[in-house]
Amino acid sequence: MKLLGRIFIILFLALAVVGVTVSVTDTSASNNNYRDRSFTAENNPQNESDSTNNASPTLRPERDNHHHDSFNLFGAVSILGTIAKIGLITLIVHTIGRFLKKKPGEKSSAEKTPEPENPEKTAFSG
Amino acid sequence: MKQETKPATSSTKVNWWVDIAVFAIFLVAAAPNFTGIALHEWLSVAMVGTILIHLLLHWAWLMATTRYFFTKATNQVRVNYVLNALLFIDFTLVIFSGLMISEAVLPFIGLEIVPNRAWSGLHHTSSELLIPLTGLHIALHWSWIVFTFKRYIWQPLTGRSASTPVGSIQEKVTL
Repeated sequence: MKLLGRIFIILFLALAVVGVTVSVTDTSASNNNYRDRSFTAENNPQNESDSTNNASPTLRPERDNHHHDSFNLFGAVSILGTIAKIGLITLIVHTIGRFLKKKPGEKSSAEKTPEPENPEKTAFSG
Repeated sequence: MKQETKPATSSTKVNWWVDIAVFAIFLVAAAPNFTGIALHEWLSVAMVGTILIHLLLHWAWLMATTRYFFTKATNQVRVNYVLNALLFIDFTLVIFSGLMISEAVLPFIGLEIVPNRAWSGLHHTSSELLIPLTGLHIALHWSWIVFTFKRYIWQPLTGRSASTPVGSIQEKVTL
């Protein structure tokens, strides 16, 4: 029961994000649609009825031509690219973090008693 | 007679494996050129489940940090919390906008949505943002990832005994 409640809370939060996104997307889409209609009506009054019947350019379906529809082994290179990007960010942030934590006169990490560096578990341990 | 003690199932170890699974699925799902669109979509749907498990496993931390965000929490925890919130929002955007331009999952369950450029643009933008956010998330937990790997994966394999009584420390500090 407790577990279900937690799942519902997470899904509710996700739903809130989706709700905001849908409302923002709908607003911007309708604004674009209105702008497109006005533009067409001003420039080409005889086609106004056509422009309202057809979907505006912003609402046309778009297909990603650079994506393959099926499995492609060479696409594995993009996984390496993602790992490289994440690795670089991790390296930079971790190095900066260690540099900031290091204080003059402090014992080196080898001299210290190793501790589990688990910020999530130790956050409020006092 | 020497009494043998059975090692207790470690929640840290479970957390570590769940995190590895989430990351592995993320890496493959983030490469639609490799998987093809259908597998890309189904993996992304599977990721919803793994993220849900990930969040449930860290529920105590989430609740404690939410409660003490403006009072007791350290700056490091606050940064971590805000980053995690952004990651959650971005993941939701990626998955939802992906469903709105779905070519495999929604047609499979009998739903047809006419995709538009707004959803497509949002999907690409949010998925581009997901990589640096994930990188930052991993970077902030790097010490834990390495420590847990050494303690729970590497040491049992090599047969070396643990240098620190990790279990007892973690028991003491668990919220």
